[in-house]
Amino acid sequence: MTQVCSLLIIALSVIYFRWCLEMKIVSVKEIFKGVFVVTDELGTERLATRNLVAGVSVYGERLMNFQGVEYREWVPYRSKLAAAIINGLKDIRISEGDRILYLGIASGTTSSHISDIIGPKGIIYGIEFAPRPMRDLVAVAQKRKNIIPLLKDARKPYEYAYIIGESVDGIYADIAQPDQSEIFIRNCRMFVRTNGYGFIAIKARSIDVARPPEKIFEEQKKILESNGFRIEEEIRLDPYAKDHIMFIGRWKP
Amino acid sequence: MWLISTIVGPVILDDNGNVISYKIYGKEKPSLSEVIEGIKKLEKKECPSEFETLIKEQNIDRIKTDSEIIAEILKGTFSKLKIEVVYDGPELTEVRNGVHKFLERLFGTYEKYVEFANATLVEITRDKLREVGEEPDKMIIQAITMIEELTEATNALMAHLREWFGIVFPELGKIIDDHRKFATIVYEIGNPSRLSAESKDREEYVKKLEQILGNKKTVDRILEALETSAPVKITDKDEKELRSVAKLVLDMFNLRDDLETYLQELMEDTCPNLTKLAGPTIGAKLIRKTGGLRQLALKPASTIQVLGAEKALFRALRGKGTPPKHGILFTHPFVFRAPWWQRGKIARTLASKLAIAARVDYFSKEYIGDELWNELLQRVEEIKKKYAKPPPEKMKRPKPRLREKKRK
Repeated sequence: MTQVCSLLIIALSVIYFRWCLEMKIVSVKEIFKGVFVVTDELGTERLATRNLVAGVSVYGERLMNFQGVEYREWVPYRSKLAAAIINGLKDIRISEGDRILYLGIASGTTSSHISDIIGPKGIIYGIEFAPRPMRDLVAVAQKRKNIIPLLKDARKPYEYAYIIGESVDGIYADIAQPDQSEIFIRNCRMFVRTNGYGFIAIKARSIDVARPPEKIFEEQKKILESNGFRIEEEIRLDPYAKDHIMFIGRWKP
Repeated sequence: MWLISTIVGPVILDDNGNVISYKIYGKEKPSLSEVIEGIKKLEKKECPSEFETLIKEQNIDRIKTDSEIIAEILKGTFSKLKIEVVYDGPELTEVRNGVHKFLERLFGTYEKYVEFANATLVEITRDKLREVGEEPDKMIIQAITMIEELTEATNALMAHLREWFGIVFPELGKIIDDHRKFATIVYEIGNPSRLSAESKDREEYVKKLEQILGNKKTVDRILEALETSAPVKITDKDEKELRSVAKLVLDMFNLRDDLETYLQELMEDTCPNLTKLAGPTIGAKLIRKTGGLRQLALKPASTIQVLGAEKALFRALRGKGTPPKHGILFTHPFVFRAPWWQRGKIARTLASKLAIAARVDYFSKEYIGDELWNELLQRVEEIKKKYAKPPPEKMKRPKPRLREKKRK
């Protein structure tokens, strides 16, 4: 009896899963330029971007078709930028054709969506120090021509200054390091144009495991502001990432 | 005057960001192979010829640049050139904007530049990754992980094999504890009725059993147990499947042995001192935990002592519970064979010696393992003598409870 039951459950879940995949998209709403909310038959809303490379899923996210356009789901549990958008980001700032410096690009989950938004006329300089995620990133960069992989240490911007050369419109930092704010500022000084935008995700636990996160966030905010980074928005990323905050602002030295 | 290096080559600009002159690696138009060669030269801190000719042509005596690396390279080639490294300021921003415009003009559209940069750096990064893959610590990390997985898998499989064979001949599992011998018996003999008195080739199989066990007493015990238990009859098909499972497990045991000798050799080649003190398994686990021999060598002894006990350590740092005495080091015989009140002290000594060993292995590659080993032995003896008796137990008082967070 139990065997029959479990078989039935497995069969049903397989059918449900298939059905979910083939779920019809009812509507697509553009919340920011290049960022969409896709609603399916059941009324489930999902964040998505228009897929730059048709038919390719980067990290196992679902692909959805609506009126001949392919959308890629943007999973907030995997990407902190998506979590920030869901938690009430007022303006995405990133627009088509932008040049972006990405510190701590890892295996290219968030950057693949940024790459969707900026399109083939934009560029992402992706800095990553660890070889393991870099392997995955190179595979992503081979398909997405606007991602430039750089196996360098974000602590030492002069080691990649001789490759980048030009200025960038925006900077995105997701480096879990105790001195991440200083690293961020160092890179802003070198590359970001005046009035360029910046995103920095701060993980309280990587700065100090013992102290309360709120105090750490206050401190980091002070470091950023006193160095010329004007914070315009601050968004906690719970429940998608625990004890994380994202500061979004402009570089006005 | 500014000298900025880009993917395609060096560019000289004035303070307002107007391009004065530039050189492209190789030819007039950027080509992939020449550019890759140029950037690789820069990464090796050599001066590409394009930099030399550009500066000579322009006849400059002082220049500003944005990177220490470039400054260092130029100093090596031009001793008289005055170089100023500038990291920030509005002037640099202007110059960088100028570089952007230059790149756009050079390629016609920015899109073409993006594609070119992507192709170049994908190639360079792939080459670099290939070099990283050849490091021996990566091999050590993979080998120890594989050994651990194999141990776990064989244990699970053996538990099921014992259960399964237990239906046929339950006493055997109690007589033989050793997994390997058990699997060999199942594989070589299979159906236990072959050993019974009615069997035609009983002699032959008893001999085989003796060979496997190398001990007459145990063989007699098995035969005795067979007489009293009267084993369940099994078909040839059952026997075939049981034997193939046993064969698989035996193969896995052999593979694990091979991997262990491989790891031992690898560890002795890369870090002889660490291996002498910690043994190949614990040494490899320490390397895996930190991510490489270099990282391990840079860790202080106090960190090495509690590697692998992060959960307890961070719990203690938040003010709940006592700090851990040992992490991975607990599996070292010196530590786990010692009585509980000596373990922390021994772990501390061991960790300090391991830290020295790892540093010597990474930085100088001398062999001082024997000296370190003697020092360690001496210190352990000292601890054992000094703290021969357990400390008096303290009365346990209820701790004052930490104030819980107020919930909104």
